[in-house]
Amino acid sequence: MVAIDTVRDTTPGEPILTVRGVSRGFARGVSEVRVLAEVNLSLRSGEIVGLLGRSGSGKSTLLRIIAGLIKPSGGEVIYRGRPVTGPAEGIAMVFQTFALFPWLTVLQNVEAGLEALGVPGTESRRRALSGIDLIGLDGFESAYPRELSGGMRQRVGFARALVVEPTILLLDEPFSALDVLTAETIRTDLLDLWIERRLPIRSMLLVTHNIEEAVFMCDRILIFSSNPGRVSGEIEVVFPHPRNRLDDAFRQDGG
Amino acid sequence: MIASLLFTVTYGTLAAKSRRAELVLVPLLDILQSVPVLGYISFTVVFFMSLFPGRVAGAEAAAIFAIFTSQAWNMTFSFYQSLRTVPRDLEEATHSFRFSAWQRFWRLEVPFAMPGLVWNMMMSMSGGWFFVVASEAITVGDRTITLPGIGAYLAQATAEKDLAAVGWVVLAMIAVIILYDQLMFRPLAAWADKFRFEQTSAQTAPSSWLLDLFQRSRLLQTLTSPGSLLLHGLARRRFAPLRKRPIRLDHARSSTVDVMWFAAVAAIAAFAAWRIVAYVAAGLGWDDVLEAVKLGLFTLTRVVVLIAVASLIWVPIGVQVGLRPKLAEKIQPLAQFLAAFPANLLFPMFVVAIVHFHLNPDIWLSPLIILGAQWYILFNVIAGTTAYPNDFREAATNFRMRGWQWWHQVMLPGIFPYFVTGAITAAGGAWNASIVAEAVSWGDTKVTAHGLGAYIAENTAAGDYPKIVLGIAIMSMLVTLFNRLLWRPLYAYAEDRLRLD
Repeated sequence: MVAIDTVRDTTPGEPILTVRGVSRGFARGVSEVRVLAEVNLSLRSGEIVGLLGRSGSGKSTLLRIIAGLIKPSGGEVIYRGRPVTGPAEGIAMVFQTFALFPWLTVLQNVEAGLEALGVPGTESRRRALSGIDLIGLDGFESAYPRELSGGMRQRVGFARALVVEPTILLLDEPFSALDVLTAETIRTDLLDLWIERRLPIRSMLLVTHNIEEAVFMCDRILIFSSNPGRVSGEIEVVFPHPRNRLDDAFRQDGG
Repeated sequence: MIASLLFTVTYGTLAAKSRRAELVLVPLLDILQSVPVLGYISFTVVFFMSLFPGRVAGAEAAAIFAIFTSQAWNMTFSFYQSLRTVPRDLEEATHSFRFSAWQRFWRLEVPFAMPGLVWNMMMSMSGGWFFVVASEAITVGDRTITLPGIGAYLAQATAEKDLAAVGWVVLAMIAVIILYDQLMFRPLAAWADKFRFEQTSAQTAPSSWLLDLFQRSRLLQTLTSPGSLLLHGLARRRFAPLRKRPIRLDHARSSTVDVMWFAAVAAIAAFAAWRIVAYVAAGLGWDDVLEAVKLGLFTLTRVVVLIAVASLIWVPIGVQVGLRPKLAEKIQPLAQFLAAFPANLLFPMFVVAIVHFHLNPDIWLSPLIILGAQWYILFNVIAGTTAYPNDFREAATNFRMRGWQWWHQVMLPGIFPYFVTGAITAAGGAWNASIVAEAVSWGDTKVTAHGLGAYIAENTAAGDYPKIVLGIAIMSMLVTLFNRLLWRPLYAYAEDRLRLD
C-alpha cells in the first residue's frame, strides 16, 4: 500500500486515461441517432471525476466506451499510452443494477474477477476475503445476492471491483438504485477508504444525475448535456476531503 | 385449432379460478400431456369410426382430434400459468376500479396471457404437423384408413418406394409451412407483442407485412370493422351484477367439503386405473408387462442419450447464435421452421440408407427420434441467451472472464431454465416420435428397433388392443416418472436458484 501512496502523491495531475473526440451513434431505421458527439476528457491520478447529466444523455454509454465494452463510432480512448480496444486490465466497473450473478455466493461473486485474472486458488480466496472484510460484508460470504438487501448487494459489487486492484474504478450510478440513507452510508465508506488511501485505485470516474452526490464526492465535475451527449462545462470542487454536508462553506453557493 | 383455443380458455380459467377444480384439472392435464398422442390414435380412430359410419368423416374426426390433443394441453398449461402469474398490482387495480369478472377477464387476464399463448400455439402447431402426417394414414388391425392429405400421400409413396414422390412431399411441406408462418403466425406474433408485460421495449420487435397491411389499409379495416366492433362490445359488457363483494383472502375454508371432494376424485381415479388393469389383465399376463417394461427401458435409454447428445451439440451453438442479435434474428425463424417441419417426412430416406448399408437398426434408427425434437433445445437456448441480462454480460466482460469460467459461472446458469424448458419439450417430442421412428418401412422392407415405440406401433398394426393399452400405460408411466423425478426437480432448482432478479 505504501508504494501506491507515493505514486499518488508524487505524480499529481498525470493523466492515466484520455478520451479524444469520442462519438457514438445508433442506427434507428434508416437514420442514425447520435448519442455522443466529440467527447473529450481526461482522468488524472489521484482525483475523483464526476460525469453529471440527465438520464439518457449518454453518460453510461461513454462509461462503457471507456471500459472497452462498447466500441466508439469515432475517436479513441487512450489508457496508459495505448488505445483501448477491449476490456482493459486495470479498469473495473461498479454497476447501477449491481450485476451480481444470482447463482453465485457473495464470495464466489467477489472471487470471479480474480479467477478471471488467473490468480491461484488460495491467493484469490485470501484476497476476496480481505476485500469482503474491507467493504464491511463480514459474515455474508456464503449468502446469495438474493438474500441481501440492496445496499449489501452493492457492497458486493464494490468488493468485486476492488479486489482485482484496478487502476481506474468506473462507477455507473452506483447509488441510484439504493435508498437515500443506504446510499449515504456506502458513499461515506467508500470515501473514507479513498481518503485513508487503503485502495490501490488511482482514479475514479463517477456517473451520476445527483448534483449533491457529485459535489460531495468529486474533485472535478464534468457537466454532460444531452442530444447528442457532450461535455458542456467543467467545475472544480475545491473543498478538501472529508467534506461535511452541514459545513457552512459547503452550503454556500459559488464554491 | 379454434376448438383447442376455446378449450384452453375455459379449462385454463376454471383451473386457475377454482381451487377445487385445480386439484383435479392440473394433474389431469399433466398426465394428458405426457400420454403420447400417437399411442391412442388407434382408439380414437375406432371410436370416431363407430360414431360416423361414413368412412372418411369418422377418420377425419379422429385426425382432427389427434391434432387437437397435440395442441390443447400445451396451450392450456401456458394459459393457466399466465393466469396464475398476473401481477398483483394490476389485479388490485381492476378490483379497485370495480371491474366485473367478465371485464377483468378481457381487460387484464386475456391480454396478459396472450404472448405466451401465441408462442405456445406456434410450438404446438409444429407438433401438430407431425401428427397429421402420422395420422392421415393409419392401419388398425386389418383396416387401413387413409385420408386425402399429405400424410397419406407420403405413406403411399413409401409403400411404393417412390423416392421422387417423397422429395415432392418434402417440398410441398416446406411451402405450406412458409405460407402458414407468413399468413398466420407472423401477424399473430407481431400483434401479440404489444401485450408483452415489460416497461422496456424489445430491441427487435417482431414485425409482419401482413399485419402492417391490415393496420394500414383503409379497405381492409372497413371490411373487418364489424367483427372488431362486436368483439369490443362483448368485452365491454359487465355480465355480472354490480355488487360489493370483499376480496376473499382466507383460503382455509370448509375442510370437510375438501376432504369429500378429494375422496371423490381419488375414487374416480382408482376406478379408472382398475378398469385399465382389468382390461389388460383379461388378455395378458405378467410376462407381457415385463416385456413392455423392458422395451420401455430401451426407449428410455434412447431418449436420454439422444437428449444428452443433442444438448451437447445445440447448447454451445445456441449460445453463440443468441449472443449475436442480428444472427439470432435470422436463425430463430429457421429453427422454428425446422421444428415445424414434420421429421417423419424424412424417415424414408434414413430407412433407405440403413437398408443399403446394412446398419444396426437399434442404433441407427435412434437419431430419428430426436430429429424433430432437437430444435426445441436449440431455440430455447437461443431465446435464453437473447434474454440474458445485458449487465451480467458487461460485468463478465469487464472482469475479463473467459473460457470455461465464462461458461460455467456466467452463461450456463443463466440459460439453464430455458434449457430445461426446451429439454422437456424435446423429451416429450422424442417419446412421441419413438412410436413412428422405431418401426419404419420402405416398400416391403421393414426396419424395426427394440423399444416400446415399436411395440406400440406393431400392436397397432396388428390390432391387439390389450397390448396397445399396456404399451401406452407403460409409456405414460415412464414419461410421468421421468417428468417427476428428473425434470420437475431440475425445474424447481432452476426456478429457485437461477432466477434472474
